[in-house]
Amino acid sequence: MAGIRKVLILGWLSTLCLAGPAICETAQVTIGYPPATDFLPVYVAKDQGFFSKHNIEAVLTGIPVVTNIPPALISGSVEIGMTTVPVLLQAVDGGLDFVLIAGAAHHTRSNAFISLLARKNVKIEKPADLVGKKVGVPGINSVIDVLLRKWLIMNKVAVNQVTIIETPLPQMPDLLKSGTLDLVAIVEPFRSRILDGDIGYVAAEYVSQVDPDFLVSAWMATGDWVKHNPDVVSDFRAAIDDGLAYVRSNPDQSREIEKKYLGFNSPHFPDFENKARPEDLKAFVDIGRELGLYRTSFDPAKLVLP
Amino acid sequence: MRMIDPVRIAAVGFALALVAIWQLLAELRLVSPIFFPAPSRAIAVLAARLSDGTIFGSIAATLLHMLLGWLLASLVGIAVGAAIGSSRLARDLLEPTLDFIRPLPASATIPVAVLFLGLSNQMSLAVIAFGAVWPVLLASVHGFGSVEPEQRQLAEILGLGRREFLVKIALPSALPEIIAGLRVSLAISLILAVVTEMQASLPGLGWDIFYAQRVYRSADLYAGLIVLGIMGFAANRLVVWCEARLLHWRNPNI
Repeated sequence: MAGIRKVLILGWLSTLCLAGPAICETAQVTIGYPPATDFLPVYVAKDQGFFSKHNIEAVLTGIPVVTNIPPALISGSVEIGMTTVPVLLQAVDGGLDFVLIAGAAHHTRSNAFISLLARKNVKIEKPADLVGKKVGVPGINSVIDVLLRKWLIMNKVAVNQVTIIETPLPQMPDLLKSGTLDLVAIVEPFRSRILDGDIGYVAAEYVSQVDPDFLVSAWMATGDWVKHNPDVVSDFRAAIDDGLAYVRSNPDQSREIEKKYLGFNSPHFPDFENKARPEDLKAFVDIGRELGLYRTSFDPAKLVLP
Repeated sequence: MRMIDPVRIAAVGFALALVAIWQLLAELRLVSPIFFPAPSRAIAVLAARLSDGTIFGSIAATLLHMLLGWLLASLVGIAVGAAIGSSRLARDLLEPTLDFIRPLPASATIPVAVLFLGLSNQMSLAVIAFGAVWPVLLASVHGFGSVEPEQRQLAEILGLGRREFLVKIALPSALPEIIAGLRVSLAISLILAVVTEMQASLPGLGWDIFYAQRVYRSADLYAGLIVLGIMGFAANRLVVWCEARLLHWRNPNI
C-alpha cells in the first residue's frame, strides 16, 4: 500500500514537471491602441509569440480615437491602453486613476514625423501668418494640438485668432485640398500623402521647436488594475522589450509585421522607447498650465510606475 | 383666486422625482461618478458658468444657429409645401423624389456640406435647414391639400385668384397642421445646431459639450445638456403660446 502511494505521488510530481510552464497562469490582456507605427513592438510581441512567452494572452483592439481609450480602460473593455501625456493628464485632472506603465515612442528633432503643413497657395512664412487661418488637428487637446498652441504662444500669436478644428487624420488631405482647411498639423503616414500628392508643403516643424525630444506615446492602465496585477505589468514590459529588440535586429521582417497589422508602412520608424519616466510629464504639465487646461495639480512621480 | 392645476403640480413633481433618483443613483456610485456625476455637481458647474457669464455666449450662438436654420426651413417648407399641396400635378411629379430624399439623416449630409461650404456657419445653416424642412413641408403639403371642398367652391364663387385663395383660405385652413410641423421642426433644428457645432468646432453649446467630453469633465457635459433641455422646453412652450393665439378661432374659450 505504501509502495502504491509512493508510485502515485511520483507519477503526480512527474506530471507537474512536464506540465510546468502550462501551470503558470496565463493572463488575458486586451490592449487598446490607434493604428500607428509607434506600437510596432506590441504587434511584433503578439506576432512572434513574445506575449505568450511571458504568460500573456494578448488581444489587440484598435481604438481609432485616443480620447476613447480612458473610458475603455475604466469600463474594463481593455486592460492596457495607449495614451499621450496630455490625454493622461486631462484624464487624471478629470478624476480618473491612471498610471503610465511603459513608453512607446519619442518624437525627436532628427526623426520628426509631426509637421504643420500648409496648402500650396497659402503663404506661411512666419507664425503670425496663421492669424485668421483654419488649422486642422487630429484631436482637440491632443499632443499635436497642445504643442501647436504652445508654439503659437512662443511666437507671440494669439491662439484665439487661429481657428483650430478637430479633423480626422484620413480626411485631412481632402479637406486641405478643397480649401476647407488652410493648414493641418499632421502625422505620418498622412503627412507624406499630402507632400507626395503636391497638395501642400511644410510650413513649420513646430513640434521640434517647442520640444526637441519628448515622449509622444505611451501605455497606461488604471491604478487599481496595476495594483492587483503587478506580475502582468512586468510580463507586459518584458514582452515589449523583446518586441523592440526584434524590431532593431530584424527591420525588414518588422516592416512586414507592420504592414500586416496596420495595412501600410510608414516612411520610417519612430524612435521607439519602452521606458516612461516622471520627467517625461513635466514639460506637458507646464504647457498645460500655461494653456489653462488643468484644474488640479500633479505629482508626476505618482503617474508613472517605477 | 385661480386654482393651480393639479396635473401641472404632478408633472413638476414627476420631473423632480427623476432628478432625485438621478442624485440617489450617483450617490450610490453604481456608475463611476467620473462618467455619471450627481445633478448637484452639474448644477454647480452651471451656476458657476452663469455667474461668470461664460454660458451666455454659447447659448446665444446655439440659439442663433437654431433659429436661423429653423426660419429658413420654415419658409422653404411652407412655400414648397403650398405649391405641392395645391397642385395635383406638382404632387404627382415631386412626391417620389421627396420621399427618396426625406429619409436621409441630416447628420450624414454634413461631410458633403463641409466640402461645399467649409467648416462655417453657412454649413451649419444648410444642414439644419435640410434636416428641419421635412416636418414643415409635409405638414404644409397635407394642410394645403386638405382644404375643404366647400371652401374651394366659395373661393370660385367669390372669384378669388390663385394667390388670394392661397393666402386667404388655404393658409388659414392649413395653419394647424403647419404649426404642428413647425414644433417638430424646431426640435430638429436644436439637435442639428448642436451636432454641427460639434462637427465643425463652431462656438456654441454643442462645442462646449464636445470639449467637456474630450477633457473628461462630465459635470460640465451634463450642465450643457441641462441647458439644452431648458432651451428646447422654452422654445416649444413659445410655439405653443403662438399657436394658441394664432388659432384662437378654433377654440374661442381660450
